[in-house]
Amino acid sequence: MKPLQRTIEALSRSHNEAAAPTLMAGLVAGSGPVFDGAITGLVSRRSKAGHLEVLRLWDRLMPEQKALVEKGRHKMGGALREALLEGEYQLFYNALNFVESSGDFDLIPTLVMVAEQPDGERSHAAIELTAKLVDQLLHWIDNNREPIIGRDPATIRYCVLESLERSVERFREHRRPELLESFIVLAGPHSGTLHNVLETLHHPCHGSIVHTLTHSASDRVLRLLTAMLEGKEAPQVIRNVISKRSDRPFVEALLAVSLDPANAPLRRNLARLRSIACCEDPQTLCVQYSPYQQAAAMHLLAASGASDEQKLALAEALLKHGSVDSRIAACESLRSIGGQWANRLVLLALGDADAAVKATAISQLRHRRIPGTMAKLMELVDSPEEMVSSAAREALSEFSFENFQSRFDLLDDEARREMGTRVAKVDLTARARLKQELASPARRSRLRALQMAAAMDMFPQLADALVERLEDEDHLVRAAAAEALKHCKPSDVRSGLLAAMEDKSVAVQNAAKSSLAALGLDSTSRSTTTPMVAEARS
Amino acid sequence: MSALLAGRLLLAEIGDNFPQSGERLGWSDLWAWGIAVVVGAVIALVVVQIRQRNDMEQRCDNPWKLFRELCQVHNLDRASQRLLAQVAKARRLPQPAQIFLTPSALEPADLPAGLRERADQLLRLRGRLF
Repeated sequence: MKPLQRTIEALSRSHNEAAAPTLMAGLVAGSGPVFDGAITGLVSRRSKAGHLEVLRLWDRLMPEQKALVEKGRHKMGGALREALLEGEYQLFYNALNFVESSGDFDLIPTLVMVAEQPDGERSHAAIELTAKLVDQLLHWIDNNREPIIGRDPATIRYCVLESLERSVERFREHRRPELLESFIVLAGPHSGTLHNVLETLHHPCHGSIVHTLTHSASDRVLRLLTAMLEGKEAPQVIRNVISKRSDRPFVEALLAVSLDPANAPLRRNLARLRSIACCEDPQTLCVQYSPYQQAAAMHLLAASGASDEQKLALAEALLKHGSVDSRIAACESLRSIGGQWANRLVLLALGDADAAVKATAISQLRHRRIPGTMAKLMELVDSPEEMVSSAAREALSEFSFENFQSRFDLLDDEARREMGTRVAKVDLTARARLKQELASPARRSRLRALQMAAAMDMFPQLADALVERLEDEDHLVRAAAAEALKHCKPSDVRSGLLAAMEDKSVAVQNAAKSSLAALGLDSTSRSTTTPMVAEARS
Repeated sequence: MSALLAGRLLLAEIGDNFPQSGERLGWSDLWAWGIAVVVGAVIALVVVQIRQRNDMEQRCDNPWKLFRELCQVHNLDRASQRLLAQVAKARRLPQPAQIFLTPSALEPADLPAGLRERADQLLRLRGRLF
């Protein structure tokens, strides 16, 4: 260890109070190792006078010298308090800068006292620093990190909050609304004091806090408002603020709120909002906000207690001028609203250029009982857009093969044909199910499948299955299959029919002959008998 | 009062006329003991003073004691300590220990003649302290 270092160490640790003035005398050097040593020695001793001397020099120190001073900040509380409360101009600002750079939250109560003083310049500087430190503290808490000073941020928060609460109580004397903002953000949405102020109209701070909540663009205030909306029983005044604010930072924060269906308090609070200012200006919404935000606005208004007219007005504007996301959201929001206006908007959405919007509208058509819906849906089943046709199929889900099959025997021919053609169009599994039925071991099922296929007009799609039925063990099935093959493409069924001409059943032969004739094929040609048919014959 | 004096006289005479009792002791016989006690007390006081003087762990506000503490830290001999003390006095430093933080104070040039003559020693000391 160097001799000077030894001297400094001895002076730092000495029990002799004369060490402090000795070290203070060392500061006269102004720079160099003696100066640095004197700083190190002074900040490691508990000497208010020494600390004040170091603070006086703070603005002239190099960054590495400042780092030396910051190491001893936990012993400098007394000097910092004195500098902030009674220090001359430069000492006050040096102390302020020191607190800022070292993040000493213990000084917040002192800063609050300075902030409450009538001296405008000092008071404003203290207010600014208080807000910064509170923000820094909340940042530590948000990130679940321990501050450099090594204390639990929650404990620090508790102490700081206590001093800010006292300042709130003294508001009538100091009238510093900026301190209220620090209090609001630190108190958080569950603070009893904050709720008390918000619910007590004649509280001295009530007006100022409401003003802050209405006008502050601070991230933390905005977060507090949205957190209160998501929390239990948002006070009336908070709901009013949320209803009325339309400034961009707030609207962005509000539209970022996730409408979790499981969040019952949020749903309840939203349902108690009679209007949402940002949703009353759809033009701004469409022009200035992102597609996601436009959609979020629609969802928010739909979940609110606003009137159907307000919701329909926004939905109409979004359907006409909004983004795809917002048009989908608008369409979804119409689901719970009946009436002519809503029906008109659903039809408007049905003509949208985007398939997803159309699909959302399609899903609402049936229950609205709009005339011509069925025909429109049947038409949409053939849409080249997969999403649209699936939505139409979904809307016509009662036209399923199962339904048709279960009711088939109860329907007359006309009804069978009407339902069958719809099922063939709507149910994509119909062909596979018919094939399955045609291959059923029960003769009755096979015959009924042939009848169903006829009603569904699906013979051409079942050509291969019908040809297979020409070899059925039952001659009635074979005859019906042969009869049905006249509806198929000649090239698919010719050889099968020619083979059926040699069936042992006359009825089958006649049916095959008739089908061949209907298809314009020559029944005498036997050139393409399949090996399978030949084998069956033998 | 007279009863009290009578009592005291009676007590003084209580050992008289015993076969082996010596002569009665007067105040003049206790001088030697008294001196011994006083000397003992003075010695104890001096010891306590010396111990306090050299006990650096004791809280105090004593510039010269701090000076001695720093001399101990640097293992300075008596002669060097005396020389440093003379320089501190000559420089009229408000805190004598300041000499340990002021290399320029050991510069012989502007010191009184008596100290200037010991320039070599001063420069050696400066090298040792800084």
